[in-house]
Amino acid sequence: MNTIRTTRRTALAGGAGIAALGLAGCGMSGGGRSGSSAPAEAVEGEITGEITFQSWSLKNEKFTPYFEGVIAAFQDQNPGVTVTWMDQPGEGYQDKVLAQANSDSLPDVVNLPPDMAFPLVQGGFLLDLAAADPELEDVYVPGGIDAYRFPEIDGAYGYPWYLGTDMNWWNLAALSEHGVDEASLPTTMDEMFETARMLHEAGSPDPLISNMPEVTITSENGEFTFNTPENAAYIQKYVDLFQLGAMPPEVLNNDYAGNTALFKQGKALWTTATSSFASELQAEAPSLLEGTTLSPRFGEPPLFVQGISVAAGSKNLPTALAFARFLTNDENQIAFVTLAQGFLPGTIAAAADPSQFAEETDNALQTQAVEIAAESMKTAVDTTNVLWTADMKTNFTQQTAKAMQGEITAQEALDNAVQYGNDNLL
Amino acid sequence: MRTYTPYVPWLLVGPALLWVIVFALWPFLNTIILSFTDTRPLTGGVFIGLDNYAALLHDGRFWNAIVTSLVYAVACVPLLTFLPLLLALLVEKQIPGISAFRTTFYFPVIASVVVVGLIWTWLFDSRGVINESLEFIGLIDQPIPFLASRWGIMATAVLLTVWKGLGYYMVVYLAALGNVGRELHEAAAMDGASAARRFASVTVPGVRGAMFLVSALITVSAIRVFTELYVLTNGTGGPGGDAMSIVMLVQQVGGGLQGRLGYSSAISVVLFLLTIGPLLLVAYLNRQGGDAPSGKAAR
Repeated sequence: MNTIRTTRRTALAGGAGIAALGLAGCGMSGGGRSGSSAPAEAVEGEITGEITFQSWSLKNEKFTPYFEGVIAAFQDQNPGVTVTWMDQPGEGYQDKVLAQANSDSLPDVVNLPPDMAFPLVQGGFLLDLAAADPELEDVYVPGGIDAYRFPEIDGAYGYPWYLGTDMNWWNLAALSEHGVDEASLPTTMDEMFETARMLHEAGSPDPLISNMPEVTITSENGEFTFNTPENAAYIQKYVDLFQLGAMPPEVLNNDYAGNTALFKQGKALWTTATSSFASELQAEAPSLLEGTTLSPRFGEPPLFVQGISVAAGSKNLPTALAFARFLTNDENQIAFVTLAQGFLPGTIAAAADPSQFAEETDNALQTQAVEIAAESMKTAVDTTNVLWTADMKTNFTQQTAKAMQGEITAQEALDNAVQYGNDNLL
Repeated sequence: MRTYTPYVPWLLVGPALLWVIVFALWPFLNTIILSFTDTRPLTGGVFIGLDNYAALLHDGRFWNAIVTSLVYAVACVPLLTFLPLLLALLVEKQIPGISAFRTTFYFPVIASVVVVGLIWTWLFDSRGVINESLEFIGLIDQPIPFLASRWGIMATAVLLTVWKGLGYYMVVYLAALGNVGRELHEAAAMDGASAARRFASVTVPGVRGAMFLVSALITVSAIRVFTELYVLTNGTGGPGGDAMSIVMLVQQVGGGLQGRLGYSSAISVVLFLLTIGPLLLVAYLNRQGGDAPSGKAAR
């Protein structure tokens, strides 16, 4: 069967071919590499020369001075080193990283969340930091490191950089018109469904729930296993609510961002968002600020991890590794999360004392959000399943939408999503 | 005495040839090759024969996307073939201020389709301007789910495409109408032909070539529809993905760091075969039709 093995460049040209046919515009490429551990001498050499560092949507008034300061400090400490900083826009980051990997121009030090790091690790593009840095586990928070350990692959491939979680945001001003006050806000999903039903029956023009159901994507031995009766029952509650007319029809096309957008427009009374949502509200929907309140997520709060990885193909590995460690050291992480309020640093020492990065603000909601985030982080769990691709996620949304419309049952939607996921595992 | 230098022609065509080979021919061939593999980005793939094509036969999403794209084309082609012609006839008249109308009709063409799509999303949302207006005047009790049902989404997208494309094809027809001899209309009028008869017997044959061209262009672009449906459905292809076009499916399956390039290439090849058909048909019809009886030809 293995008569042809396509290479990365062949696949890259294939992507161009699809574009040439006018059939797709997305970046496509492919390839093959093996191994991502560097020999010890490669990472223990002299710290000198030029490296590139890539961040993700962080070049702005708030963070640019911070990064410029960090880079200047590193260069001062290491004469002969030049760090070139690149920042990529929020949209299309995957495609950009893909193009960089295929053209062997992955930045030496690069900001990657775990789900984006995983395929790069599979392709051998990232350095195994567990092998390259013996102090990794002593310095960084275990949950953050674990996020960069992948199924059936040895090692860890990212320095935990900043960690976040989200919380419930309520439009209390609108809810109070229907008798829901701060004391009677739902504290479980069951209460949420009840309140959503009550609001609908009371004639509220704005729905409480305007998102598609999300379940934790579990897998065992390389097979997805989230098609459980419990998850089916959970989705069924959304189905019932939708069919009652207590959710907007467009919810079938919505995503996480869509829900927060509706909240900002005053068209949804509840959403989940990170603590930075307070500043978004202040900037984009200031009239909602006063009537908005917060509460911790129901159950286990999610843990969002951002990390710094090092390109295995860096021509200057010692310098790249040193910069990655410098960027993520206690001092720099504390300075970063002081700016990014509501997030926690990825080192054990820095995370131990939140007072180090607490900042006074005139946005009371921001203060409340930071406090809730700090508390929630103690129990937050990273539920990212790196085997779960964007295509599988879209397929799951489509299947769930069919269930919401009554075309299939909730259990069938889950079974179909699991089947599709298992059929298309990497 | 002239010296024959055999390499000169190659030097002259070389840059263009290189461009075609690198950016058109090789990628095209390589897409076909990839369609016989299970290639993924970053990790490569192996030859799997016709497996991708066999899988297509059993992929409900693929057939759904074919239907969506074809229905979309069937709806768009007549609308965008005839409406711009009527519009061109209206603005062809040389009357004061007509250029302002021509410009106005052309405005949607220069607007970003993404921005237009977002505006239309707000218009057709269950709580958008259209639904709220209809409710306000008492025509409906419940919002019409324009963007939450397959056919609602497609109807909205067709409307958007037609609104946005009218001006462009109007300009094509204006150019073609300029070639239809005025004397033919005058002669027909003197013979007692009504306006409708002159339209059917003089105008339409006069712009026949342009109509073939326009309908071919619309067919190809309609089968390849992406942005309109993508924006209106937030990239999900509508509830259950039912309003997903073929190109959206290519993007969903092949996009991202873990996309299935081999499979999406197979879909792309099928799409290529679907789009080449109308083009060949138009070329054939054009050849069969010979010269259009335009004013210049008649002279």
